[in-house]
Amino acid sequence: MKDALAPTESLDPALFDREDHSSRAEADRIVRPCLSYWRDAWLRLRKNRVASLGLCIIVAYVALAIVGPLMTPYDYKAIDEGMMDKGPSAAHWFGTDTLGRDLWARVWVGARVSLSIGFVAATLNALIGVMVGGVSGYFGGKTDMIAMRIIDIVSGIPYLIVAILVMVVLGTGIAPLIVAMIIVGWVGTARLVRGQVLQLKAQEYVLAARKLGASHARIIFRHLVPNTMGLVLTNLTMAVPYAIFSEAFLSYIGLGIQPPEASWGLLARYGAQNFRFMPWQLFIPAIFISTTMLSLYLLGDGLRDALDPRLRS
Amino acid sequence: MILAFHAVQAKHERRTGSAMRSETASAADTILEIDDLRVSFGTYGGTVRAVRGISLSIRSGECLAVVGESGCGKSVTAQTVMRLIPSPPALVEGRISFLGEELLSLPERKMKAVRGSKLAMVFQDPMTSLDPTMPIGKQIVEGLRTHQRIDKREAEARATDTLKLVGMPEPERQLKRYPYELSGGMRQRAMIAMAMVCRPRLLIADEPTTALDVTTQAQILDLIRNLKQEMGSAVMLITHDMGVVANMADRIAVFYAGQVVEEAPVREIFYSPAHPYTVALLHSRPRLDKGRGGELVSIAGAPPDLFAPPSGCGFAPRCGCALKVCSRMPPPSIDLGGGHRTLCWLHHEASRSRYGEYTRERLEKEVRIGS
Amino acid sequence: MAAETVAKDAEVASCVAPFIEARSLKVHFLLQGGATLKAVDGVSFAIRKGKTLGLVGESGCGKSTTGRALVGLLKSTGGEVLYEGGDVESLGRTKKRRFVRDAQMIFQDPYSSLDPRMTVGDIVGEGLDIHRLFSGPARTERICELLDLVGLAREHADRFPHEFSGGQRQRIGIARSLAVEPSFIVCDEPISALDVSIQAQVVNLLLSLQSRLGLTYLFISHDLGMVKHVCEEVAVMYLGKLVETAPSAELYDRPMHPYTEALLSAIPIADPDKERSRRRILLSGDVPSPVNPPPGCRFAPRCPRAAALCREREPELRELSACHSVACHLA
Repeated sequence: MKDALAPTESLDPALFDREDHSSRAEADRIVRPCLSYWRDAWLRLRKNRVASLGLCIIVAYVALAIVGPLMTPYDYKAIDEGMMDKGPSAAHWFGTDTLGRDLWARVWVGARVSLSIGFVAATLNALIGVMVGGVSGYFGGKTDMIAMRIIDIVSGIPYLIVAILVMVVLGTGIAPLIVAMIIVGWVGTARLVRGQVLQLKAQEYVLAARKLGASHARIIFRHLVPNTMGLVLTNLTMAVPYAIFSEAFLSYIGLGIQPPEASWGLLARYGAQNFRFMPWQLFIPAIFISTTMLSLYLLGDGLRDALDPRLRS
Repeated sequence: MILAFHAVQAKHERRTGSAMRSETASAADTILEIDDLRVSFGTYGGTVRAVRGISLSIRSGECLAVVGESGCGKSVTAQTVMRLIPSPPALVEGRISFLGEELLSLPERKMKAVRGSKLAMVFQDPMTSLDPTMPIGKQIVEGLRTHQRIDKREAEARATDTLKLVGMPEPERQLKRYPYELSGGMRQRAMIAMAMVCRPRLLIADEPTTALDVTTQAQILDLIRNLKQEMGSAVMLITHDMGVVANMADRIAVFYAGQVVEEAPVREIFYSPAHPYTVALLHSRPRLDKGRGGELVSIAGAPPDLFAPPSGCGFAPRCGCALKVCSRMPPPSIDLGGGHRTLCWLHHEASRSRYGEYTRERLEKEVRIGS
Repeated sequence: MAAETVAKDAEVASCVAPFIEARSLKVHFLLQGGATLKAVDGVSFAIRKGKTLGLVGESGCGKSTTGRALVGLLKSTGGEVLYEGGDVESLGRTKKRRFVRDAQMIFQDPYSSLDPRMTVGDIVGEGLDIHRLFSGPARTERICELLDLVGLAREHADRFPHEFSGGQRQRIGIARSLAVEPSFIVCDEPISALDVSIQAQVVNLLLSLQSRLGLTYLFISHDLGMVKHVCEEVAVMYLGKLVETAPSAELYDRPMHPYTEALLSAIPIADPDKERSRRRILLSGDVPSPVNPPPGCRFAPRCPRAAALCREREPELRELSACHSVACHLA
């Protein structure tokens, strides 16, 4: 064994005086800087290159959705008969569609619609899901049984039929589209949250809260829901691309957004008609739909890893 | 439970606690030698220096108890000996020699041949260390057939024998059982069976009874002791329970903050401990001959953060006998004779000449530094 | 002499009414498939104010379940819990609310007993918030007092549980239960998950709090050594029933039930000469599952002294000498 022994002569005798232990407070001091759960998750997410890339792309698209249409002088609805079906050029960066409308402007206005529908629908689904799942999982018994049966029934309804019915009743547009998506969409989060709550209910800190006299509401909203937030957030990030795709699909089949408004799905629809001769009209919206969804999935994966308390070190 | 076992070294194994251990005599029957082992891990928070220069040796057939609290590096040491820690990303330095082979530089292929056959390990929680999707018979047979060329039928017969050896009732039936169907004590026996089936020279038991009830613990310790005697295996017993140590160990190594602060034959540690931490550890448990109440010796504070290990003695901030040198310079290893060594400035010549001898009674008085 | 002190204790005991009492407490769980898990099957004991009763036993004996049923975290299937002489179920509203606050619990696992999303200050202050005891700067001050009481620093209030060690987390848990000013605390294996030297810290803290605040404890543990140090009286449980109760010193010196003897014999002693020369009672088999208890005495299948009678009839808990009761046909 390597000895740290120095020859006795070279050791200063004063070193062998008694140590003064007056400051006992040192013993309980925490050395490391304060790191909350979210901050720790953020640091971990940043280290994940792929997820960070996904995040950057989304942020870039959102930024462009806001400023994109302002970057060209053309209005997204303005029809220009002289410029129909032109390819990408210096004037029209993404080219024009069949009615001569500038595609750059239409893509970014469409982005506003698609992204906002995606995020709003997914968020509303998450909120409803957390409520239902949280209450159902916490109370158990009859409440849980009824809620689960409702969930089973709702998830059995074909989503497309619901969408059509809603459109018939409420007409087309952003709001009816969102309504159609949330009628059926909350079920996934509800199941997830219920499962998580069932697990957390048995944790000792919940028992401790009950022993202190906490009301049901307090336990659900102060203890259970915050501890499922990580899971819900990850699920949300994965639900957004699904919502975006749903909008794209519904608009593509003619049920969603109608012209002269724009959405990525709508652009894809009209682009598909001219695919043979003007492929960019389909490719461009399709690429944006795909990359948005991919980025959100990558971000969601990264988020799941970052938020998993077991993976923290 | 009579097993005819051909052990070359079995005769040397009766422990002679008072025998003076000279280097040449021990070299002949030392099967494991760890020399200045250092293990560090890189984490998000920085580098953790989990093991900071430990040296140990185990002789054939003896039981070395490794004692320490959480974070002292005992489990990391055991896992490093078994090469279970992937070595990048962990940084492992030093030498580990087992039956003449250098384990740290052995290619994985060869290490696999050693692991499970000559060197075996038993873990703390049998529920997570047994595969829950495989019947235990299959797990034992798998271990056997990996290391020996025998057919399935013979392997199953050997597995049944081993289960009988570890005290499982109705061993033929137990072969088909899944871990979740067994109680904690039974699972631990199954794990011991898996470890012992290839007659290892060294069994590393990492807190084998911590998760068990005290009556079951007594049975399992008894089992390990009997197996050790019958098979001539050496045992490295990792535990935090001094009572278990008193029951089983021939020699003891006390770990603190990644170092061995004291190493001695069992009676020396209990009756003449030299390191303040050992003394505190021995006194933090209530004595069964005393009644209710009174204050237990508790050591204020906690073990040092191994992200930034102290430059001096790791125990100095909590030690009631500390000298100025203790927090400034790492203590040397002092040989107290009779196989007893300690890492403490109090036993250094300079300290002895000034303050006198630090006997157990004196340490007991001065180590109380409040709760 | 030991017998005299035991007799004196008994005399005092009979004069002072018990503070918390369990009478034939039963907690049964209905399993899928119709079977009943009789986790606690007729347990009776009494704890006097300011004293500590130890409840010992191995896994599956029902001690944790008993503790939880006592404070109201679990519904009992039968029997009664008496608080200051009155049945908890039939207390008036105000007194029942007082009982909810008055009887608190400290949990075993320091890693799951604190909400990882809340700061230490919020965790400790939760009781204050629920019962609206303090607000504003008074609340902050009270939280700091509580942290101080358990030996933690004020600065710790803004940190999160994962930044603390096991021992510190247990202290936070203790501070949390003290916030509502209880008089009775069930300590459910409070030190089993801690390192040995930290166990001493926490036990010293619990004892000093008891004498400072006049607390009454039910100390649940499987660690017999620690139980002797902490408790005045000890009750031993096996498979849902009490097998022996006695004052602490009496139990360790003169155990009467074979299970208690085996339990005491199994505790390893930190003294190699004594440990290796003692005669050990090794029980056969493992602790059975409480779902299908054997007929007659539950301990009979593993008992080294079991007789035919033991397998037929269940023994009652009888008082054999001052305050020392045993449930055994052969005692």
